[in-house]
Amino acid sequence: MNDSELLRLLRSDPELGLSKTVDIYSAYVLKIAHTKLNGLCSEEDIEELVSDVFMAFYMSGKKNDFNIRSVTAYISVIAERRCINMFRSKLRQPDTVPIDELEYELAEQVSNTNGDTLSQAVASLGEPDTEIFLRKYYFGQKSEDIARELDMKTNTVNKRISRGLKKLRKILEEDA
Amino acid sequence: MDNKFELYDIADRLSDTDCEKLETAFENFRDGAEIGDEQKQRILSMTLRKAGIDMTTGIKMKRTPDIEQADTIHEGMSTVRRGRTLAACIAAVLVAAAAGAAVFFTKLPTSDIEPPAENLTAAHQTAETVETAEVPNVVLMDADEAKAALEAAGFVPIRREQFDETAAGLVIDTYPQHGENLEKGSEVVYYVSRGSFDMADPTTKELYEYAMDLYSQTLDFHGETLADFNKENGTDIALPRPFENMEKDQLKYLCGEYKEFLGMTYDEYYDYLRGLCVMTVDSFYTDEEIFTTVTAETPEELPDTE
Repeated sequence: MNDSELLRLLRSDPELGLSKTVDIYSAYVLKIAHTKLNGLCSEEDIEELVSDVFMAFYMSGKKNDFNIRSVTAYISVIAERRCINMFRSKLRQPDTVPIDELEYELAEQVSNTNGDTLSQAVASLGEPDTEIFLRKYYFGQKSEDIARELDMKTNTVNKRISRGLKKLRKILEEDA
Repeated sequence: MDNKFELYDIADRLSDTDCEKLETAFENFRDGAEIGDEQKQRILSMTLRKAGIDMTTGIKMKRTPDIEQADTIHEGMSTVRRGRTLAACIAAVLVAAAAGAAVFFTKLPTSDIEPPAENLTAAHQTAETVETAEVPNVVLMDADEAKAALEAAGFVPIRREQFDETAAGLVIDTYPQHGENLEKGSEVVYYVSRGSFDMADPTTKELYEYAMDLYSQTLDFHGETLADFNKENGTDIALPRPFENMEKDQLKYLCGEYKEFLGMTYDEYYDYLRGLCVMTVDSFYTDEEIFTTVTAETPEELPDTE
């Protein structure tokens, strides 16, 4: 079942659609939660969070008759924000080491950039840098895990992140 | 606030609309995501509970006719299933032809592939004079629980099994579906998942059963019973039995790598099916079963599948 079919089902039969959404996306949401919260939360907490994500998707979707263009994107946003909230509630910083000072510099630019411009800028990094950037900073995946999943060396991933940050900073500066 | 932390909070800056531009990267991240059946069920239970949907009377993962019967075939497992449905029918003919001799076919028991439509009709007709009950929703219940629930509601549960992506042992559908009012004592078929079909290393029995599933699903889509189809087309289609007599390769062919059919609509599939029913049927009867000897036209006379 593709997203169009799923959304059609959610509109015609929201409860069944919710079940199907869980069926299709639970592995994905679980991966997001594990990436962000592994070692920080119990498996029970993570499962609870995953179900919260679907509940939020369901309630939010019903309000606008599931007028959603990308279920993946929609669920990703909900999941990531839920994870961030959980993360903050645990009062722990991400277990990451800054690539270099670029992270600090770019963070300020990002905080002053609207989402549309930011997403366009990230997309314009090009693959695989867009994906690496998102894995690193959106999902909080560790470099070694990114490397493993993308079949790269960790060092290569870190270099690409570093170059991506520079490129992103330049793009955002130009846009500004 | 630490700037570094803000960069990791980039999700706060991006709405779902913004993220649509990055969908490909999200999909890539999704690759390799796994979840066990039990964990998925736990999450489903929690989600439905939060949504105020009762697991026993509310909705669960079940077959979705409006989706599965969509006229356009899409990529994915269901597509493969649909494609193989016709392939099974086609291959049944081809296998018979290739054998170069009459193949002993037997008509499957009607109850194996036909919904108990007569029972339903009778129940509706007499609803005012007989005691009726509503078919409970047993989808996604464990098979034993489903059986008990149907019995408790006053029905006679009939178990059928099908390959499905739903976890093995869980009910994937019923016929009639939940919510229908039926006369107590009516048969209600509950379909139990045998789990996903593994084309990589199936047993002969699995191949046969899978073909049987596919076969019935094509007719189900068109709302026809096997008897209807045969009557209309003057044919007698059945899968070859016993499967032990068939080579594994033949059965694989029966279940089929008919990729050329993927992308066809159901109507197109159905037309092909009708076109393939050019069999000469010579039936004879025994006390217990109808046996049918089937000879087929040569493969060259079959519709071009390219």
